[in-house]
Amino acid sequence: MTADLKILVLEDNQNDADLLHRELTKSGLSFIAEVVNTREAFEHSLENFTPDIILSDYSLPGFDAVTAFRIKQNKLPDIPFIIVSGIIGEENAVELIKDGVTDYTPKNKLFTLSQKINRALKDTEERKEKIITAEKLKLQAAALIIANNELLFQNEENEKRAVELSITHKRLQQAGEQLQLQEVIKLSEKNFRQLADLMPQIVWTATPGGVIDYYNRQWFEYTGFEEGHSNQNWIAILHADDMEQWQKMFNDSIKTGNTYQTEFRLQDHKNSGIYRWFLCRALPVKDSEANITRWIGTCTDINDAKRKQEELQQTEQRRADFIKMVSHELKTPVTSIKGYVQLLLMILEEEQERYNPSEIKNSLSRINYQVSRLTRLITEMLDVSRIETGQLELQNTLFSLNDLVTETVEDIRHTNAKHTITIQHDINCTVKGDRDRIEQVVINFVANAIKYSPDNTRIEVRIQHGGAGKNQVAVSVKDEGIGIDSKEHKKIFERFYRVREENEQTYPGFGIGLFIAKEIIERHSGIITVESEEGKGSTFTFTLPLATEKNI
Amino acid sequence: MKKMANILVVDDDPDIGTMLKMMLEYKGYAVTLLSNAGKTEQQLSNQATDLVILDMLIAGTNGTDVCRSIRGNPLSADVPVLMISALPDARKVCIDAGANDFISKPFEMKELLSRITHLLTRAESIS
Repeated sequence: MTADLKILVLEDNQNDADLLHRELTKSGLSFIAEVVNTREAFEHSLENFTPDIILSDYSLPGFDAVTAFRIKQNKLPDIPFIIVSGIIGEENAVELIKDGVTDYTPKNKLFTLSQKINRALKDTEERKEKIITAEKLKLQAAALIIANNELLFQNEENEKRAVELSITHKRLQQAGEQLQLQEVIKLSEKNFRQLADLMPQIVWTATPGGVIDYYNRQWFEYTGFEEGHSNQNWIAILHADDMEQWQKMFNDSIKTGNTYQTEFRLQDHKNSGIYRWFLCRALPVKDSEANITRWIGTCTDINDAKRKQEELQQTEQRRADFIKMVSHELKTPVTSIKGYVQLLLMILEEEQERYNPSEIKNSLSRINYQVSRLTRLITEMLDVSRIETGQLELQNTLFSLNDLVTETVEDIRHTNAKHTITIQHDINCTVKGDRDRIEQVVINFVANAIKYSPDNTRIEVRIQHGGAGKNQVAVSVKDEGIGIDSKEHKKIFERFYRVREENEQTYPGFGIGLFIAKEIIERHSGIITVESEEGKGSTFTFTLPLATEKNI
Repeated sequence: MKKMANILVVDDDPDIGTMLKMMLEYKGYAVTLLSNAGKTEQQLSNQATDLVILDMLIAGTNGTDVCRSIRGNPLSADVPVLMISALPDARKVCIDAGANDFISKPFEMKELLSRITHLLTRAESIS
């Protein structure tokens, strides 16, 4: 329910006021009215009654509508002010409306008043709304401006912040990546070093240009170099003979970026002067564009393997030589035997009347000798086979060593008239062992002395105290023949070793005599030795434990 | 004349050398035996030689070197050389060194004699 319209009526004439009231009631307007007729009452009512509209008589005693309008304008400017009067005339009314009075109704046309009130109220209402709307719009506009500014600001701020953020983000990311990369590198480096230190090989890394920038522990252990001493150049410990080949390989690899592999010798600081063989391999580490970023290399100690390989090759070579020689050695007596037999047959068959008994005898004795030679060769081969399989059996009897040597030399003298063999008995003794085997050793020594001294004929055999103490006897055979280079001294007791000179000059025999002799003597708890100088002859000696000794 | 041909035998194995000497002398050749190859040149210059029988392995020298020096000396360059060896696969080495023929040990006496005859006949026909 809408509140009744509050109307303030300024009228000094009660009849007119009643008339106005009647007219307004008649128009159906729902209102309450307050009628005042003085300035004071008017002002009081403006403040307390707070009217929605004011109807004012034009002229009052001591007061008037123009003054009232001004007061109202001061206090309630939005309230409509309608003058209801009968005497002001059209011109004044227009003047008043110009000044701001809402409307004018002559007293004789009061029936139009309600219409005018409604219009005034409506106008006022519309004006109010307009103002409010304008205010609102203003406010909204202001708000929008502010909002816009704010947005602009925020936008700018955001942009700035976004830029800052992106920079920060980038930096963080870079830092993160850097950190992560460094971590990864650190970890990788650590792993690499741990791995490198664990490896039995020497491990190193080098710059693309080949400058070494890392060595693992094994390097420092082998070389005796100290970490961080860059002036300790590894070239200094490279064997001079291997320098050229290494240099060539290195230069080629740096140029081509190919993996390189070479063998060289490096000096061992623990055994000064000793060089050991190493297999050196280097691998280029390349980036995504195939540029070399680093070299990783290893040096593997292959000294033992190389030595073994050399030994194996030597043994293989000797075995091959041995087979060749066996063929030769076996064929030679067979050639001789065959020749003599055929000669005898020829003599006997073709010219029976021309028998020469000495020829026949000589031929037969040659056949006999060559058959013995063949038998000995076959025995030697059997001995080697027995030694290799650990099946060489020895007798154990007491016998005179002096008698054995004398008898053996006597036998050899019969077949070798060329050489003069002397025996010197410093002591007279018995030993315990295999007489036939010891004889075999004496034969071997004397036969070698004969064989290797084709141009000198003196051979001295001597029986004396020897070895570590008085309870040892030494038998030595000395010749003045070709001698043996000191480098070969150890090898001559090895299987299949043969004295070999330039131009493939060789001496007959299987090259197993000394090998067998060594085995025999060592099985008798003795030792076998050689003293020799190339071109100045050799002295071979074996020792045996004394059983008994008689004074000479 | 054929039976009187001079043959020089160079072999350091005294048994084989003697055997060859006896055999060849029995067949009517005049034989000189050398057990030391170093004297070969001297012997060839001292005495007219119709054939050399040379062992491939001789103590002191390699038989192929001896053969080369025989071939290299104008005095002996045309003397037929028959080399012998017990080594396997020695034929090529000997022929390469200038030997006219090669026979491996052990040999059949008949074969050796037939080769000697052949070499002497050929040398005679050339001269």
